[in-house]
Amino acid sequence: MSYWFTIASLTGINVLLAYSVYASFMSGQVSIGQVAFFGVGAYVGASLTVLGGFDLASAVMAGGFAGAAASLFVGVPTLRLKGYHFTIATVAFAEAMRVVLHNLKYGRPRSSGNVGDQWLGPDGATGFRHISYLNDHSISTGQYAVIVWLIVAVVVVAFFLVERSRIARILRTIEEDEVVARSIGVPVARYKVAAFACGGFIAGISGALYAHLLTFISGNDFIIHLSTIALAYVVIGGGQTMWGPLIGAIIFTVLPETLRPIREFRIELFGLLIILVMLFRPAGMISAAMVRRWGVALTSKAGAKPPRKAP
Amino acid sequence: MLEVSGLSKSFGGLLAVDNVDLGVGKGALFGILGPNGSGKTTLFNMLTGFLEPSAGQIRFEGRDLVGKSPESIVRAGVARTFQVVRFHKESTVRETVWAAQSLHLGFGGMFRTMKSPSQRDLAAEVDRILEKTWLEPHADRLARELPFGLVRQLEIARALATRPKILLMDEPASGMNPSETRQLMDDIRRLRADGLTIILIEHDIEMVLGLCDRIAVLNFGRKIAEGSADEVKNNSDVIAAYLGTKKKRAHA
Repeated sequence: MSYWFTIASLTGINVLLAYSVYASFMSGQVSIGQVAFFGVGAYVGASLTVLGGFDLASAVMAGGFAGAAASLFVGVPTLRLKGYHFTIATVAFAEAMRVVLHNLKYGRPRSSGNVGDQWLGPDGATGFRHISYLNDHSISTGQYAVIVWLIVAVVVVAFFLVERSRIARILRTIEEDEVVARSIGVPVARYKVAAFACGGFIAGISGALYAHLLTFISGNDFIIHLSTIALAYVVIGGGQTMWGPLIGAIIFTVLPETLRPIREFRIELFGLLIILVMLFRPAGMISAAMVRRWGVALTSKAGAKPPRKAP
Repeated sequence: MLEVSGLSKSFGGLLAVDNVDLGVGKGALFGILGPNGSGKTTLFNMLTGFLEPSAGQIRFEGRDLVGKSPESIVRAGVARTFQVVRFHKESTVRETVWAAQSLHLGFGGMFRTMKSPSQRDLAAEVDRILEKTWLEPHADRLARELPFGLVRQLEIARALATRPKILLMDEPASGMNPSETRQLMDDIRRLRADGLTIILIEHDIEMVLGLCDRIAVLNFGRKIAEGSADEVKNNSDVIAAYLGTKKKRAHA
């Protein structure tokens, strides 16, 4: 059972990662650097509980703020650029960050432990071990899954509300055409930076949760591959509405696990599924048109709401 | 209301706009006429902050607009429409107009939904604008499903939602058939009657002559004439640059 609880937590962490991509995706900015903010959040969060003695909630929040700060560092100078420059900058930053994390060493010696395993905190290429907060506070994997999914629920509700506000319409206008957005008085760069920073915050939270789940992280956990997977959750799940990242991340985390019995064929099956989705549903599995149809179906089935009339 | 003096823009060695002076009074319907490539759109882009002038001054209600960003110029009350209409494909007509009200809102107001009771006035304003632009019956359709004739109305509606004092229209009749153009001319007259100052860029001579009370004619970036429709029509430079070539073509 504990295995499936861990999968549940990992799924929640991946959903968060998908939303971190989606935040700037809404304004048409494709980031392949979310793993950097994820990694920063993981290291900051883990450092706070392991070395600083902070509680999990503060550590996760701090991870989020560290992710947001790192995303501002990349976003402020590059989001003024047009086209692919931003995407390339995120890739470069993620790779640089991986190397930095891989070489970080700080902390203090442990009082106990075997020879060669006596360091608390990140120890260069050996990684950051003994992130034992869950064990120390006897939080079970099941309880942790609940914590993770509560945070996911907050983020999902936040996106649900934002999607109905002017903010989402404006981000979509920016996605469509920045010149038009400016012509209706939208400070485009500010919106793009803010959306990207929100994405960085969510990635940081996700990273802090990941570090405490795995208890061991190293620079090599935070490779570009993870960013591209996170982008795939959004693109394949559907980037037109907030349901796409949610469904995409869930399916593409749970499916590979349930397919374990068919062994290496699951990779092929996975690839085939991606190709099929892109062929037949270029807007992703969940498109805006689909969400609209469901919305109409739900309101008419419930019958509670009479047809809208002009006041 | 809008004063332009000595405005120039050069791209490398090319002088796209050369020392242009314009004065547009409050309530005017001002036309800028010129053949393709005469610098009309460059002039528009400078007036709306999308291009920085190489030289010259732009003053709107006494405030200097040179060097201001497009978004702050819109906030000052100068809105524009584009020749090519672009909007988010998955938004409805109403949402498209609604989004253009953002500049009237503070940070908190941005988070409200369309049905928020605290923003009933803004929602009513959207309704009024949709009615004025013939979009009311299509309000809840997706913008991309609009019939072509109404697409430009959406562009105008979006600009109106920013509450402009002066509206700059870049070739609003492009791609329209004669009856659509006539309808558009009526609409523009009505907007003006509501108190909006309008600057119209067109290469459709008939439309500008029939609509505008003051017209400036550009050719190769220079203003070659300015005056009423009759004055412009009878100006020899204008005939040579513009009408003359057309007459010759009609003859052949």
